[in-house]
Amino acid sequence: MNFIEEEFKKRFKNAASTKGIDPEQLWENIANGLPKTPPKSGFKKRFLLFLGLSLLILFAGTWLFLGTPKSDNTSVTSISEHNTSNSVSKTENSTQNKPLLQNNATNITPSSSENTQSSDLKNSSKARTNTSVFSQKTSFQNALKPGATKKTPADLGFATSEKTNTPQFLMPKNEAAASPIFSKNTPTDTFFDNKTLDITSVVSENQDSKIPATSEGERAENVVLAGEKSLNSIAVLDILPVDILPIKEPRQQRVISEKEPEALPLLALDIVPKIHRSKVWEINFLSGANLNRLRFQAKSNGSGFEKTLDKTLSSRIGYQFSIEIHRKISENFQIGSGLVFSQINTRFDFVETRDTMVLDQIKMKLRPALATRTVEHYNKLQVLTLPLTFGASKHFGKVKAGLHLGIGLNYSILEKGKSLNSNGQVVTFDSRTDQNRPSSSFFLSAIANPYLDFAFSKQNSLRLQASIRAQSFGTSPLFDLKTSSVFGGLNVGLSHRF
Amino acid sequence: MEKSINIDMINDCIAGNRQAQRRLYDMLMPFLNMTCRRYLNDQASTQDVLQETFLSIFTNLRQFDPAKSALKTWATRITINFCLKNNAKYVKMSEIEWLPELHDHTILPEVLQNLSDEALLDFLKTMPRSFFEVFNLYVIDGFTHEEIGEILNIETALSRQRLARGREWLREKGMHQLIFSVN
Repeated sequence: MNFIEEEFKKRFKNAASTKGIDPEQLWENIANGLPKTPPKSGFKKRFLLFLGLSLLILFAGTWLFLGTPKSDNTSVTSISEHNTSNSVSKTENSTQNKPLLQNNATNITPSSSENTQSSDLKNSSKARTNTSVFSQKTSFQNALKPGATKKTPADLGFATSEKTNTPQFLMPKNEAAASPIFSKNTPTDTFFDNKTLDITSVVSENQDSKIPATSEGERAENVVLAGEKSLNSIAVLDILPVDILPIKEPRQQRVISEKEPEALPLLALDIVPKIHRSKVWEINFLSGANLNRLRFQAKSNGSGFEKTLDKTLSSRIGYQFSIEIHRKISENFQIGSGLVFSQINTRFDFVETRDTMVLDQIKMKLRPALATRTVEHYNKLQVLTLPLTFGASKHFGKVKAGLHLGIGLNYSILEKGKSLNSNGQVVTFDSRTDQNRPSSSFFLSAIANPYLDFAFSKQNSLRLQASIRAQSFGTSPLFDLKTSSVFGGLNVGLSHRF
Repeated sequence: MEKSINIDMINDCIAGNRQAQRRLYDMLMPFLNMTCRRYLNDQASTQDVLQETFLSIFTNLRQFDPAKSALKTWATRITINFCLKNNAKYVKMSEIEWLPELHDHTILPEVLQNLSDEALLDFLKTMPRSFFEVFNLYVIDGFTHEEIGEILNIETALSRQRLARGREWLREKGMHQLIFSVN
């Protein structure tokens, strides 16, 4: 360095001046532009937001997938319904051969003052269940046909209160009201021989024959099952109001077996929901390569810049890893989620041409010339994707073919490289420091994943999966163009069912 | 100046303390203003670039690592980036680069010492832009050619070439002009 450069350095290295600046005005502008609250670490904030959102969706999805308590309740309710129907149907079977009620058993007086349901029965032949009917264990047990194995209330579709040992229907009230087996218009004359029946009074009679069944002191006579001598039970009547309509359904009659009542064949009814205990979960570990083709679209009439970008940015092979979890919702359909990490590589090739002058060595003259500048760079974009998919599959022997369709919530972890900006100049961008970059931090994608599974054991299979995504980055602040891409990948991995 | 910029002050600025930010602004502004004047082609943009620079400094102060550099160095780098970005907006693709003719001129040190800072800066800025950028970064601000390559997005070899051309310009045409202007 000669003395000229030393002089320059000495003068300007630590030079300070406010010339040409209004410091107060400048500070006012700066203060107005500064946020009132201290800036937070944008990267961490966005990442935590994405992580939280992802976990929330995953947990919500898992909770929805499982839904175990709800499913079990539904099953029990269904069983309760049919158990009840079974009892009634069984009674009907009996009526085919024998009269259900003895003649004197029909002289039952309604107790309208004590139980409104009794009046309902009287007035409109309504059969309705009242849990108080089953207030005594003995009454409940009497519901069984003599000689049959005694069943617990749960076997017959009732839940027993721990405190009172009171069996109760497990069906919710609203379902009970809506259920056809509780139809108000259910005729009772089949069983009651056109007589009305007060259940409450009958139960009271069974408990203590000396207690008046009605407020007027009238007594209801015992109702005895036809053909039964010693069993002075009205238990059949206890069950009768539960359901009358279903007895006309032949499918329920066919299910009943008097020989094996304990077998509870109702579980085999078609209408009982099947509880899948087979392997419903599937976890996939996949990795593979990808290619991503960027698309640019001008907001209005294009200036040609989008075509320039198309030429300068070309896709290169990237890679991805994924963990996917799928739950079978029926034999051939699944829903799934997971986490996918993708690195998308793009190559930037640009040759800048500019006017310059060159020295003609022979003539020692400056001559106009064209200078070229070549820029080649590999850009990378790292993306974390949370897919939410719905899938269908079909088995062909040991091979299973399927397709998952859905959406992906994407978070751009890192994006760096070189490109042209909207002014057509070569710029370097890095998502950690620059806001101006080709894609946005969050973006959505449409996902289609066709796959083939080659089973090599009962639970495991080799998976070959294509991954196709249509990604929309919105308007890029760097290009000032609408930016999107088509992503294609091929994955190989392991699929495990449990 | 650097001694009075301590960690507490930086932390206060990060926390959004306006008084601390104003103190930091007062300390850095004259120096950064001079840096802008050196690098900007368009002097009218100085205040705008300084405003952008300070906003960026205060917004990204959390990223400043005292272990790596002094705050002044870090702020200078940001300022230079903004200046170069601003220059790029006004780039003229048809700009003709000057290639020196090989003549020898001798400059006396007294000539330089008699020039004011403003006059010397004005003189330097008559150097072709691409040469002057590298000259500024290398000679005055002390960046290496690798760093200059990153800042200007050019090859290291090109940075060296431009510096050589800038020196040629000073030795040949520039000083010739300077001598004439002084006389």
